[in-house]
Order: sequence, then structure tokens, then C-alpha cells
Amino acid sequence: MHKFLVVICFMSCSTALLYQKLVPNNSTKHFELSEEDWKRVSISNPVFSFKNPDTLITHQMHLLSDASGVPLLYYADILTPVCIDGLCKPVYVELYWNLLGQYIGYGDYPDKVLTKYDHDKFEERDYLKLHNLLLDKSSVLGRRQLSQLYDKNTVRTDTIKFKGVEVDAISGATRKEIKQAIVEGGLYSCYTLWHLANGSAKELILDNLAAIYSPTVSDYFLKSNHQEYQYHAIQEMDVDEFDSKLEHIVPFIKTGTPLMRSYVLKKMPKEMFNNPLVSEQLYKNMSSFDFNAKTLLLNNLSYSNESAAVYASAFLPSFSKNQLSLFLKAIQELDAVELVKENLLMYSKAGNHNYSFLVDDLLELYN
Amino acid sequence: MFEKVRKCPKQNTNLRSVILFFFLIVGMPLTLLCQNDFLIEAESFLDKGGWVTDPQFIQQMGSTYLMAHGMGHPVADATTQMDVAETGIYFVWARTRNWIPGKWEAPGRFKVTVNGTALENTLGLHPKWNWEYAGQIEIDTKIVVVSLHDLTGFNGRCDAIYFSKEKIAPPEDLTDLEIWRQEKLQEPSSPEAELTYDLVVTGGGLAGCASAIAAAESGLKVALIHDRPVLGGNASSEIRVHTLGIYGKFERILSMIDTEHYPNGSVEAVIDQERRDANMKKISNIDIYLNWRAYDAVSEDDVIQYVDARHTSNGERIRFKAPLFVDSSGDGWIGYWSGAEYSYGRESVYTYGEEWEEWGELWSPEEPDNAVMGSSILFQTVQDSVAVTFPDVPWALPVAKGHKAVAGEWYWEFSRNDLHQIHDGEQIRDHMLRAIYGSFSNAKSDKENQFYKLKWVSYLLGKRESRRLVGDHVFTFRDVLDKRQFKDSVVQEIREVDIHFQQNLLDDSKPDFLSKALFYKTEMYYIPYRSLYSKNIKNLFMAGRCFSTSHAGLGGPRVMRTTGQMGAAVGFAAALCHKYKVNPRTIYQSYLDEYMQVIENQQWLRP
Repeated sequence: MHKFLVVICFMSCSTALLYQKLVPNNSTKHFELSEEDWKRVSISNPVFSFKNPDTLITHQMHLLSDASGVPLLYYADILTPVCIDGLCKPVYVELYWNLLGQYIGYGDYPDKVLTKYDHDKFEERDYLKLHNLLLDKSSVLGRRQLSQLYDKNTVRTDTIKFKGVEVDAISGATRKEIKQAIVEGGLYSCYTLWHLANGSAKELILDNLAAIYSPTVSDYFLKSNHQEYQYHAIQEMDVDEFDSKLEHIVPFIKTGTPLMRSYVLKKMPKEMFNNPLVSEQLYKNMSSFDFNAKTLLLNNLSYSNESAAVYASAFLPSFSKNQLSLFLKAIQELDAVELVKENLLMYSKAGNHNYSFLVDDLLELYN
Repeated sequence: MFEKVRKCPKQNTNLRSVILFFFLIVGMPLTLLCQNDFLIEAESFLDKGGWVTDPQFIQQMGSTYLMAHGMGHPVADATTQMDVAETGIYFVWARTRNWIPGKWEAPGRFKVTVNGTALENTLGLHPKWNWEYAGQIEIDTKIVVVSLHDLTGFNGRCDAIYFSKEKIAPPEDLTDLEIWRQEKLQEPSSPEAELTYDLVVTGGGLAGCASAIAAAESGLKVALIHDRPVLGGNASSEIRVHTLGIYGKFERILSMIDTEHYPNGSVEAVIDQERRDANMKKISNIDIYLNWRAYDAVSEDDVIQYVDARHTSNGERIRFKAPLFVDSSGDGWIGYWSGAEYSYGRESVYTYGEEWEEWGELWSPEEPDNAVMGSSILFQTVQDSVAVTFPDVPWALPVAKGHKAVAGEWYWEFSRNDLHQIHDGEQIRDHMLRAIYGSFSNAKSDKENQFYKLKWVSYLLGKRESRRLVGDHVFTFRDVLDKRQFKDSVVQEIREVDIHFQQNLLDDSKPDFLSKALFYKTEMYYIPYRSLYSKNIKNLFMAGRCFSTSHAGLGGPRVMRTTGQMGAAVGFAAALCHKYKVNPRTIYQSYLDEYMQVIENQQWLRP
């Protein structure tokens, strides 16, 4: 997901009107999507409908694609009542999801602005807060009933107090957490929209993924800057594909989160570790990786090659005790002790390394 | 060359006099005196001063040890005294380590003093457990007073002290050292004492206590072996995690031993501790062995014959025999030693179908791995009426980095894929100590925190996950998803299933000692009796986090009222095993109706 948020205003008609379906273009969008990506959107096709279980209203989901038909994202026009104590008011927005069903943004209309319970209009910061709330898939709004969130007189069954002070830090939200999460005075809108953005629509989009998935989409995913897309593409790969697409996978390992990096390193076929690209790009740059990735690289060092062993030996001081043990075992299996001996000796003689006794033991064997 | 000796520690003048008198009168002291050398186990010091006894890592480093856990204030000396057969010049070694070596002064430095004279060398300087040479001393008295003198208050540690007239250090290799120790301490290969019970329960956490209560109330003679001075495990006043979950059918039993929902780490745990201890003492038929740590279990033809345990201070040993055993040790030690099948780490999401799409790899990985939930060290701070300083802790900062904190909670948790929660326990504990001291030190640099001081820091790991013994049924998250009910459902729970992950997995800039929880909201789910006895060891029950479950399955029932339910269920099953002279599996096969009725009846009994 892109780190930056762009607010794109499309207030005039665009060439999209020339296409068979209308692409939404007259709203203010709060997006985790680059302007460049948005500009690719050319075609809109209705794909399925989904129901909001609270209102029982059915909404139409559209798939947006580029001019050549490559699917890019989903959107739905939402007109939904937000009700409290029997009083309802309509909310008009567009909701957008990526191809994996993750909410990525919303659009609102200049003539149908969002309002709070007391009819005050949303302020600019409220729009941003709403967007951030909808992005938070683990939001407290997903774990609580609406009634538990607003009624101060309602005792939450899982509210835990000790000597009159609410101390629950385990099972869920405190009132402070709720207040921080929502747009003040806009709880009902927030709650309704969060469940639309993160509810059944998401599952249906995921269900639809197989139908739209193709080598083109796989390629699009892998080469995108979107970590979840890259992850999905790698998830779907077999051994042969790993080999042919290694040049795209290695950069992903370098730039991904520690979680993603570990995932790929665990999934990568053992024979890939012997690829020069892996030694040059990964073992050579080990110091920039997180601890878990280093461990996984060392776990697989014996499947790699002498170059990788030499590269890894440059980082001995940064290894934990167990990592050092893994390294020493691997270089024996690779028969590379002599090759890295200089670094081993340097580490051993420095006199300030915690685990030099492990290296000393090995050097003694090879003397 | 060496004469065999036994330790002879003494606590205070009165006790010392009594023992001396005994020695003189009887003429055959327990400590046989040698000519040339003697070994003192540090944990056997009768006056431990401010040093604490730490038996957590015996299986990794060889012994219980004493630790100067002073939270930055040097602790009072630990002192003992020995009768020495021969005066003369002795060379002295202490088995110790520098617990965080690096480009700073070792944080846990201490000295050994003999008859009031400090030996030449400062100790606690070398990175691995080793015999560090303390210096030489001329002993010209028949009674020698030995002390450990802490210099820092930051967790110096000492396993043993060895005196010898020859300058030959004891062996370093763990296997050689074990043999050497046995020789020096004149230990026969088997424990000196042998006791027989109807049921032997190892581990006095909530699960172990509950199983002991249920079995004892049903008429069984029960031994409850626990390696700490107080019962309760993670809920004890030494670790201070509050108990979560529901009582299921066992409110009467569990309400005797659980806790209130105070903040984790609260001193209020002490009150519940007293209540728990008092309630446990009231139960007849339980012999509670506090400060005894099991170190072996032997099976023949897949039947455990006995569990051997050692006192964590005086080193005495007992062999516990019984037809039935409960492993509530948390780490599944009894199962491990006796050859029970076990698992560790995360299964592939495909093994049991434990996917939570929303959280993917964080919840259950595609490829199996060893990334388990971590262990916590809780701590408590208070505000003084005057400004309080805290020492510089350069050795803690590589872990704490810039993090500032004056309070901890459950999410102070550490797990990493190169570390095993059992084998690397000491490193994990020490990492958390560095996180706490470093973060607190950082916070103290802010004026607003000048009145804060550390009131309490645990030194015992609060573990969430380690070995899981395999039963006839492996309880999984799939059982929760499918709302599976079993004809042998003996445990029930409605609390969310929550699995933790380290925050830095998603954001590398986060401290590596903080975790987050993923909560899966669930309706009532059930755990069958078949998850509470071993698949291949015929007379072994398990209760607590080492029950038969997958990693994701453990996410819910690892909390202590749920593990307590397991314990109670196992205790009642043991009673039926005793009644019919059968093994745990036969209860499921042949006596299930009667067993389930016993469980059902429990819910009508009020506390």
C-alpha cells in the first residue's frame, strides 16, 4: 500500500464517458492509490451485488479496469441510511477496494457532504480520520456492537473493572480507544461505513479473485509497488515460476516488511538459494535485513554457495549466538571454512565479541 | 585426588550453633570433609541475603543459581559457612557468566569474600557459563564463612563456588560437569528417597493446582511438585498475570486459586497468592512440594515409572512413583523426558485448516515455522515523594533503543525465530530485563518521570507457548471455527482466541520486545478430554499450555481459568482411573458416561 495519501478532485467530465460504463469521476476521493494508477482506470463493469446485513440494502459492486481490460480495483456507490433511535438520514459515498478486497478509499459528493449526529458538517480532518478508520481492519468497530459503543449507561459484559477503575487491556477497547478511533459526533456513520468497507464486500471480492486472475494479473501484481499484491502473486507461484521471476522476487524481499520477507524466504525453493542473484542481492546485503530474515538466510546458507558464505562472514559481529552457530554449521557443510577463515580469525581476535568462543572452537578443529 | 564432600551451609548464628553442636555430638556431619577441595552450590546458601534463587534454566546451564536481582541497587550479601577439614591456601573459582557482554562494564559483577576478605578478582565477566577464577585465600580456621558480594544490583549470577588446594579449574563441558558435580557432592545415581502416591502432578500453576484439588477431593493421595516457593505459576505473586477465561463447570475449584482482574504486574497479586496458598493447604490428601523441581521422568513400555525431583536449595532428591502422572509443567517436561510425542512451533495453515484470511501469515503460516508466541516479564513502578535517580545502563540500550516507559503490560513480550522459548529461555529473560531497564532509564531522562522508581521487576519468564504434548485429539482453531462439540467436552470457553505477534514484523522500527494481539471473537468452544492425555505414554495426563493443541488452537485456551478447567477435568479423570485401575484412554473408551456425569455435577457445587 502506498504510504502517501492523495486527494484527487475530478470535477469535470473526462474521456471515461466515452467508454461503455461510467467510471466514477465527480467525487472527492480519499485514496491509498496513486494518481497515476487512478488515471489508468477506463472501464467499469458491474460484477456482483452485496447486502448490508444491518440495513438489508443491496449495493452493486463494479470492477474498474484499464483500457486493455486489466482489472484494477472495485467500487460501489453507497446510499445507506444511518439510523439512531429510529431517526435516519441518508449517507452518499463511493467505496473503493483493491483486487484483494482491502478497502483503499472513499469518495464523497460536493452536494451530499457527510454530517455528524448534530448535523454539523464533517471538517477536513474528519474526512481524513474516517479514511484512516476505514483502513484499520482491526478497528474496535469490528469487535463491538454499536450499542456497546455509544450507550454510556450500558455496562459492557466484557468491561473489566478493578476497584472501580476500568483496567481491561486484554480483551478489547477502552472508551479512550473508541474515542480516538472515530470521528467525534459521527459514530453512527463511522460504524455503518466501516462495516460496509470491511464486511461481506471484502469476502465477495476475494471470492471473485480466482475468476479475474490471469498471467497478466499475476504479472501486474508482482511488478506493482503494492506489497499485498506482490505477496499474493508469490503465494500463487510454483517452483518454475520462482525461477523465472526471481529478478522480481528478490527486490520484494529487500523492500518488504519483515513479515513478507520471512514469508518469501520460507517459501522460496531451496535450489533458489544457490542462484547468484540471491548471494549478490541478499547475502551481500544481510546487514540491512531484520533479525528473522537473517536467521532464515543463515538457515538456508548450506543450500547456497561459497560466495554467499563469504558475504555472510562479513556480518559475524551482528549475529546472535544461535545465528552464529547456524553460520558455522553451514560453512562446514559448504566446505567453506578456509574461504572465510580470515573473517573468523578477525572476529576471534577482536576480543570484544560475545560469542567468539564458538568461533574459537571451530578454528581449533581446523588448525 | 579430591575428597568427596557435601555442602554444609548455615543461615544464622543460632542455626549455625545448633548444626555445629549436632556435628560435634554426632561426629558424622552431613558434609563429609575433604582434605583438598570442596564445592558449595550457591543456591544452598542458607542466608541468601538479597540474592534470589533461579531454577528456570537448569536444563540449559546445569543448575539452579543465585542472582543479584536488585533493580539497580546492589543486594545484600548471600552468606554461608563450611567446616573445613584442612587449613591452608585454597584457590577459588565461581561458576558464573557475564549476562550481557559488550563494550561496557559487565552489568552483573560481584566478588566472593572468604572470612571477610574479598578475593582478588571481580566475577561475572565472561560471556558463557564458566568457572571464573576468584583468587586464592589462606584459610586458617576450621569454619570458613563465604559470601557473595554484589557490586551492581543488575543481575549478577553465581551457580557454585569451588575451593581447591590445587589450581585446577573444574570442567566446563556440561556433561563432564554433571559427572564432576555428582562426584564432588557424593550423589548416588538415584535419588536418596522414594515416595509413592496415587497421582503425581508436576507444576503448580493453575492447571496443576486444580488437578491436585480435584484428585485429592476424590480420595487420591496426591503429590504436587512445584519449583517455586509459591503456587500459581503465571498467576503467582512472582509473575503476576491475572487469570482470564471462564470457570466452565469448575467454579468451585477455580475460584479457590484464580485472581481478580487487576492490571498485570499489580502488587494485588500478593493478596490472591495468600488466598491461593491458604486454600491449597486446606485440602487434605495433597502433599505440596514447594521448591522442588522435577529433572527426569522415566518410562518403561510407554508407562511412566517415576519422576525425579530435586530441591532447588538444598539439593536433596526424591523419586516420586505413581500409577498416574500429570504434566502441568508448562514446558511439557514430564512428557518430553518420558518420550511422549510433542510439537513446537506453528503448523502450516493447511495442516488443520486454521486460516483466518484477514491475518494470513500472522495468524497461521503457509510454511510451518518456529515463530511461537513470546514470553513476558512484568514490572511495576511507583512514584516517590522525592526525585529518584536510576543508574546508567549502556548495556540495556541496544535493546531498548529510544523506547521510554514507566509501566509495562502483557504486550512486553519477546519471541524471535532464532530463539527457542525453552532452550534459549535465559537469553529471552535477559533480553526483557534489558528492555525494561533500558526503557525505564530512557524515561527517567524526562523531568516528568523524576519521581518514578522501579518497585518490582519479575525475573521469572511468563511463558505463553512452548512444547505441546500430543494427545488422542489435537485441539485446533478449526474446532473453534466449526463450533465443534464433542461427547467428551470437558472444557468450555467463550473468551476470544487471541494470538500475539511481534510488532516489528509489520514495522521494523518498533522495539523487538513489544507484541500485538489478534482477537478472534468466538461463540462458546469446547476442548475434549482426549486432548488432555498423551497419545503414546499410557499413564500421562497433561493440563495447561502443554496440552494437546496446535499453535493456533492454543491462542484461546492458554489463559489460566481455561487451563485451570483442564486441570480439574484431569484430576477427576485420574480419580476414575484409580477407581477402575485403568489408564486415561480407557476412561474415554469405557467410562465416559460416568466421567461426564462427574464433570456435570461439578457445576452445581458452589464455592
